[in-house]
Amino acid sequence: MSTTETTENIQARIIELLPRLRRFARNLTRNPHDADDVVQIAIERALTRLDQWHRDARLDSWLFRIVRNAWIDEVRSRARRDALFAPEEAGEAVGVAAMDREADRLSVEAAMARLPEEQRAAVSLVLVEGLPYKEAALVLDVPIGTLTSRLARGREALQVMLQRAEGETA
Amino acid sequence: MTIPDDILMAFADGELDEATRQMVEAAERDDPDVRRRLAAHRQLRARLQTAFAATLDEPVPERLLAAVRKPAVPVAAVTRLADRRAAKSGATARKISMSAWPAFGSLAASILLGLGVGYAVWHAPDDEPLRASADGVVAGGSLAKALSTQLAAERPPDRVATIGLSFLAKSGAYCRTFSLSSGGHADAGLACRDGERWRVHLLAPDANDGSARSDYRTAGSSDSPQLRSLIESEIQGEPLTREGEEAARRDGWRLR
Repeated sequence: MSTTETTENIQARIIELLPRLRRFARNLTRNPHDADDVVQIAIERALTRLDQWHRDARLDSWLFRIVRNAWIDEVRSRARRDALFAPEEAGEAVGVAAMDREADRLSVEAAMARLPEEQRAAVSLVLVEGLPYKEAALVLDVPIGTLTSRLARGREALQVMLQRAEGETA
Repeated sequence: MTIPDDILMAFADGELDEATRQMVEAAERDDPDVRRRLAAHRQLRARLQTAFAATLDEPVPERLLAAVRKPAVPVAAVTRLADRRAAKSGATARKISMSAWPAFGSLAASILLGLGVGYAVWHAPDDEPLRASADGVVAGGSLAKALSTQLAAERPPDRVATIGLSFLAKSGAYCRTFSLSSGGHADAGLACRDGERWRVHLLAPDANDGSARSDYRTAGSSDSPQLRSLIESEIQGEPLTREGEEAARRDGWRLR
């Protein structure tokens, strides 16, 4: 490796990022088990492609992007596999874990889970993971304008769902 | 003056330039409507942060930590194989492929060989589904037979190996996923045709194995994330249909 940062160093940084990668993957997949599978695939891919990471780019954004691409691949291969193995492959659909005691958390999670994937990814990166628009747009490989419009639509939908869940009226 | 909602959102997200930010701040002071809308955006942001904060405190599963610490085994072995051979014979591909895939050859081989030894013990002495050869692991015995003759949809009752799916790899070889079971333990793997042999490129614990679902075996149906990932990176087009498999079998799993 031609830079000052060693592989060990990067591995340590990836380990620090694991909780956030898992959280992002969980928002994306809406299933904790799938989320960890996707993170694992992403880690494996990332480690074999460290040479493709530009050192001036943010490591978290780069990994979020690999996680998202791994999930897209997974969804595609699942569609393909389902076509082949449909009857016996119909695994049980594990919903978002409903073990949270806080009612608010449940309703926020439920509302998030109902967003279309594109909006969910945008909301998750900006509002949950706190990425700047520029970074989130890079992760999703879309122009900033597309990101902000997905974000706006996602926000609106969340507001509506959460208000309804609480019986509030604006 | 009305401020569009996207400006207010960007304000709540800290994305505005200085001038626009000051304009919104002024509006927030003077305009109850702006105040109310901004509060809603801030509140949503805060609620999302709070709702998902706890996820960060969950312990990270050991398998993920291990995946970071260990170099990954399931490298794209199928297409890299040619590079590895070239590397062995000292060809020019060496520098590029071997530096990008440090120690893959020896690592993968040792893991597979370890498994191969295990299988030699678990199975009947006359059956050796995984065999170490000079340049890697190849299928033998019941596995080789299943790979050459069994269609993916077939489930012979006394099978040791079950075929998941078959596909043509980017390397031009036919590849098939399989599940090998032995004494309540199952591994999912990928084998690709190499001349007259089936070379085993990956063997990973079957994700369904040992779980509550172990009574329903999904047969090399790529439940292992490594296997799925390898298939994704190697497959050319779509998996073979039943007709495609029958045709490939007739041709001895060689491209005509």
